[in-house]
Amino acid sequence: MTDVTHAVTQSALEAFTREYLNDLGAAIRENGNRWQVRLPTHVDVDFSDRREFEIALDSEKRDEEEDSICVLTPESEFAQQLLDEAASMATVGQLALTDSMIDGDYRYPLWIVESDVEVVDAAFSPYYDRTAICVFVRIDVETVSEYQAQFLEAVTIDIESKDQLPGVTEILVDEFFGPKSGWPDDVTVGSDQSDMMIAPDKLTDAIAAGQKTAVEGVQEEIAEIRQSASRAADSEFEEYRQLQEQRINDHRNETNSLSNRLQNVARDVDGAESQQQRVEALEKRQELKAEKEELEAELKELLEEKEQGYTQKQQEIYLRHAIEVNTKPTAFTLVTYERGEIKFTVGDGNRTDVVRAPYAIGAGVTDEVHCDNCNTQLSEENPISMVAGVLSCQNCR
Amino acid sequence: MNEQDLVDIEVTHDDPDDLVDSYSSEIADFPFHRQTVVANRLLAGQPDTELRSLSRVDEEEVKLLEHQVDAAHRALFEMDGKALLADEVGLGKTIEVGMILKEMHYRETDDSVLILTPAQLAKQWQGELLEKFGLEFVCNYDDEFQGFDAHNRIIASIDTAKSDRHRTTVLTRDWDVLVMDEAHYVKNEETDRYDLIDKLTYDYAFFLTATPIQNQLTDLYNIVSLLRPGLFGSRDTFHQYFINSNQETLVNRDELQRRLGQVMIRNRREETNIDFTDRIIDTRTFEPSEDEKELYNEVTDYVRGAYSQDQGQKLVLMLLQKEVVSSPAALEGTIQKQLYEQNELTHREELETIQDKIDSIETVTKQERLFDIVEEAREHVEMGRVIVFTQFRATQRQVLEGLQEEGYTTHAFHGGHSSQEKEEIVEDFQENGGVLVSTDAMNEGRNLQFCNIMVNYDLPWNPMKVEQRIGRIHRIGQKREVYIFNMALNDTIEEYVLDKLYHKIDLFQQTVGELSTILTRLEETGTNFEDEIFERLVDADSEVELENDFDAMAIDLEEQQDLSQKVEQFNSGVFESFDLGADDD
Repeated sequence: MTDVTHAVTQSALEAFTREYLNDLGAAIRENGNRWQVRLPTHVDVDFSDRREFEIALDSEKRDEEEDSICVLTPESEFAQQLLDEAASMATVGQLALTDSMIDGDYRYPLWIVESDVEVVDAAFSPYYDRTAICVFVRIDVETVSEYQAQFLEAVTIDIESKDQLPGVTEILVDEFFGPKSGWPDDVTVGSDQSDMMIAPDKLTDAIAAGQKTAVEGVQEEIAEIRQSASRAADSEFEEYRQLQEQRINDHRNETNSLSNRLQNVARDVDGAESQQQRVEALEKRQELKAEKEELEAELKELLEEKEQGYTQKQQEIYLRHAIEVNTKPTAFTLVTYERGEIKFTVGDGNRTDVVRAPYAIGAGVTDEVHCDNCNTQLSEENPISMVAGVLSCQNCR
Repeated sequence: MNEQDLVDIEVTHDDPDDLVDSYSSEIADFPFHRQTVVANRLLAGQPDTELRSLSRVDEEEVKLLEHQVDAAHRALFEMDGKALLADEVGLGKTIEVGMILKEMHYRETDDSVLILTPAQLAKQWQGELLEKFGLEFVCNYDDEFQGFDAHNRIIASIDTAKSDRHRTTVLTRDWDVLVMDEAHYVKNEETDRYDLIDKLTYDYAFFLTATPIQNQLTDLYNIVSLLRPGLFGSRDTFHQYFINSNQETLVNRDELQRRLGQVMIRNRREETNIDFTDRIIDTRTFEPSEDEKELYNEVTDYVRGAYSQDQGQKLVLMLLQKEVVSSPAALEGTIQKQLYEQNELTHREELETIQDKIDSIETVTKQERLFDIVEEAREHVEMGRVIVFTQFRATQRQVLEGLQEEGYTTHAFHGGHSSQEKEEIVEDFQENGGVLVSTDAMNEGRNLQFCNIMVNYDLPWNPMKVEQRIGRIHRIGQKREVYIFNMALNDTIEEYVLDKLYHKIDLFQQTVGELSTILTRLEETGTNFEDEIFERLVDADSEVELENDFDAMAIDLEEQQDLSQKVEQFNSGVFESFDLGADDD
């Protein structure tokens, strides 16, 4: 999984808008910070109800009659509309990654990178095409205490083997999906789907696998958000606990004061000079008693709650602060990529030898490779080695 | 925090039905799909148009102006980190680059930074970036400098970088950021300098110049092409499209400006709201006492004689010549050293005569006259604040003693103080007023706009240094007129330098930028200012010859100045109405 979030810079936005409008068939006349745009008649867009309009590349104040001008800046409404519209316009696309496209820029396996030999030459022979999807997954992380965080991850997965192909994602993002990158136009890209039709359930599985993987890509960020949400929950709970302590104290004080007043009323009862006074004092005592009992019951409840460490409330608070992570696949690209065999000619400065490995464009060496000599698997820890012009591995030496 | 203390996480996945349905119905053309993916990427991103490090700039150290913030912002976000900063002189291009570098540092996009400057400005850059922005750089003149592959943040003179010794190392590295001051240095594509920049590998680049065009429009083509290859197409296309066949006039100006707008930022003085106050120059020359006259003549004769015998002693002889006009105290130090620390002393007798003449001086004329200036200041300006500059510590001590005896509040500032002490001295001076006597250690990046009177007790033979002194008080933020007093004794080298050279080029009214243009031109013709002065002094057989020599040097300077001014005019012509700001119309 690869983080493919792109900062919304002015230049990225301008590059995107220029290309987007051009692709819609619009004519743009750029004049410094103002663009005059004319849309073709057959195009229907949400961001403008007029065929001709002006775009301003800054948010400086302008005359009132210029209210209709669309302001294109990273935080402008127009930019948001444009992006929203484009984001759902063509969610499925396809392209083909071929040997010719990568221009000899092969990915060397770690058992070569970590070795003491150098690659003198590399040649790839394609045998067949495989299909993968690169799925773009939006991840929203929501909590009550923090602003919502949003990520966009890209994951490429082989439809059949379900293998992840991070190298392919990298090529796609860097070469094809940069706002300012353009793309290598000599490669086969198109919408002819005759040669690769994928069963919907396979596609659903692959996308679902991509969504799960994408979440792994933002584990660290989620962990951070979780920490801070937990701290927020903690402090809310602490506030609650202090409030309860305060209430316990208040209740105690109130009960004491009621006890005192009861004693006074008792004296009033005893010392009443008339029947009338006595009845009034008795009624008062009754009233105060009831009030005291009520308070005592509440205090008891408070103390019980305290004894239990306010666990119920704590759970409630923690539950409310829980983090909700939601993934949504927003687009995917079907990628056919070539698989075959790569022949690395490696050397130690004096002599050279050849090593072959199963290889896929963008993905690199796809399978285990063993030492010809001792049959031990080659790896980062056990790289190839050249002794007296003969290839072997670290293990053999 | 323990796992059980953490809040729960609930993960839900939206089902991908919509996408699967889209797939079944239609796969979009790739260009549209690309737009969708890019839009999704941007929607997930944060608006990124703020200089996030801005709040971390110490406002005590640097007062950022609107046009500077704007330039830094545009260079970073609108020009993708490749820009030609071409503000007119005096508007703070260094500050703009400081902000850019600070921001890149904040965003961690500056693992390796190379700043190339003219040799005489390297240390100044280092000081400013450290003091104003807290950015530490190693300069190629530092003892700790160990080559271009040994440090990640380097300020170096462009000529050191292109030298045979360093060139390969400089070119082998992939630099994150390249800054080039006085970018007109590389205007000529046939020079080693141009070749170096052309071959350098870097991700971001900021070129600075106040005069993007030095002689002809091709200069601009060359500089811009280094930054943005292809912006102007090929050299031929550029010529055909923008330059009239006779090479004199510009055609398709609007298109030129439009393209320049993608890479160049030029603020003009009149568009910013900065008022530069006036400078009032008061040069006072005094008749030396008989003793002082004799001492001066003795030293000058000695210097001439010794230099004709042994040119290897040039530096110390030059020093003596400068010291004799500064103060007897300054001179005495060097004479004593010569007399008592030199193993093979060849001129003992002459040196002893000089020592005797130093001893016989009772009153120091300059010192006495300084009291007049200081007293005037005490009566007329707030807290009587005056800064007195001298090149020598011994003179500084003597001046301080004199002032203290007269009952003035004094402050001493020299290179021997720690940065903390320097801060305290300046604060103390601001709070309590009086006279600050400083050596040229004050030069780097310190702002003293609260004072508006400055005295050049003695004069450096390097005009840049004079301007740097003035720049301490006459800069953006100074609200009052600035008074500059120059002191010199009649018929001394100092008087010649002042009268014949500095006044001729109107040095005291020049800004650093203008001056550096003149000096750069001089340097290109192989002239070293200090050497020129010294050589003329020692070579002249008579006073008349000396005067004529200085006149000749002045004419040369004036020529360079005229050329600089013409260049400036031409630049204004080309960039007239060059406005990339809000109001494009």
